[in-house]
Amino acid sequence: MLTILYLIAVTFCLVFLLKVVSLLLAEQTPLMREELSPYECGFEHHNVSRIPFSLRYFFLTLIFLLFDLEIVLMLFMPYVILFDYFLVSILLLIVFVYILYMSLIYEWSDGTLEWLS
Amino acid sequence: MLILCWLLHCLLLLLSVAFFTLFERKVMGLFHNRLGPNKVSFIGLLQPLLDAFKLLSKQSLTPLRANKFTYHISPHLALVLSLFIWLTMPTLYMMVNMNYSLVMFFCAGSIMVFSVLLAGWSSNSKYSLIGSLRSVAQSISYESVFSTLIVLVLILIMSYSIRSSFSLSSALLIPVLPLWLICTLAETHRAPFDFSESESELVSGFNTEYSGAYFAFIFLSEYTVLLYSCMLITLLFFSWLIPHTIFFVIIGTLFMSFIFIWIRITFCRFRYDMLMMTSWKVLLPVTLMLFVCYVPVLL
Repeated sequence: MLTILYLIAVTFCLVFLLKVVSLLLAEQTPLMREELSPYECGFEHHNVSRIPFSLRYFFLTLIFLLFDLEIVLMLFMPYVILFDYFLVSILLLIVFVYILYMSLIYEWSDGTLEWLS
Repeated sequence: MLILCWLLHCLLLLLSVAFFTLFERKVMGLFHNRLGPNKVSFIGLLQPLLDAFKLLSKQSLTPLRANKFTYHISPHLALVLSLFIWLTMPTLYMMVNMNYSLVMFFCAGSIMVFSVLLAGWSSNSKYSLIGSLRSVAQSISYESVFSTLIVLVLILIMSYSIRSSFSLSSALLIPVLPLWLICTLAETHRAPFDFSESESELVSGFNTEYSGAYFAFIFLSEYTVLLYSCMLITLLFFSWLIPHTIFFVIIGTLFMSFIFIWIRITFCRFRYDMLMMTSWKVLLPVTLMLFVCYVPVLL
């Protein structure tokens, strides 16, 4: 565990070093105001670009959260199957996946998955 | 010693990614019946190094009303995470002995989404915001399929480690391969699904405002993850086919990356809503049904 943390730190140092090298190599010219403004074609835009966005993405994220949670619940299955309760655990796993499938069908029929509503 | 080994590994990895871009451009040139990069040194062999040097020597500028901290941290995060994923590679010299390498890959791959989200949000441009939201939604919906597939693979090889796929029983995994390939393409934002930078619609996607070294970081991280997933496919699905030496694993990885380039050349871009619907309405039910049908067969 500690070695992995060390290795992450080393990787971060390497990447940071690359950035420092690029800072040293880069040509420094005085910047113009147009260069610093956000990318646009031919005009300058004034307001903030962090606009409220489509709710579709938010619903999709919610469904993803539910599904991922259930998958995390299944993540320990190899241990259970490997050590004991072979048949029972396989049966339970299949029932679990079947329930997941039915919930997906329910979401589908409810219209949460439709992109254009 | 370990740290030196890892540093060398990272540097060679970055070098191989650089040469992979040359490989890609050459292969694309061949498919288009043209030459590809051939001017720099001998048949263009030094092209990627000079490209890297050019990218590093460009001035990188921060947009005016960007969130400075997240703007600077997200390319670093992307590159560090994508190099870190390679720690789970089961090599011969085995730097860290990981028993949960597939789970580690799954976790690190999930965190990669944050770098895209932060990069797009903090650079304060509408193009990058929309690009990042799109690619995050795409990654998320394919991740639900991908993690189901990972659980299926875990149950089939009865272990959490990539190393234990080195057995004949991994031939059983072959029916999972097409689904895995599609999910990998979508997760790494490769060609038929490259909605994070659909050039004609959004300028360059979530990295519109990035230039110089930061652009290089984002680019490198994407290709590093791509190479890793090529290697993972080779190890998981074809390890029964090849001798278990590092040489053949590398040959298999190169062949898989060639297939990825081939897919990029052959298919045109998908439509975004169709992409999302494919994930939720086709791939996820198919994966769950595969799960239900395939696990009892093993009994």
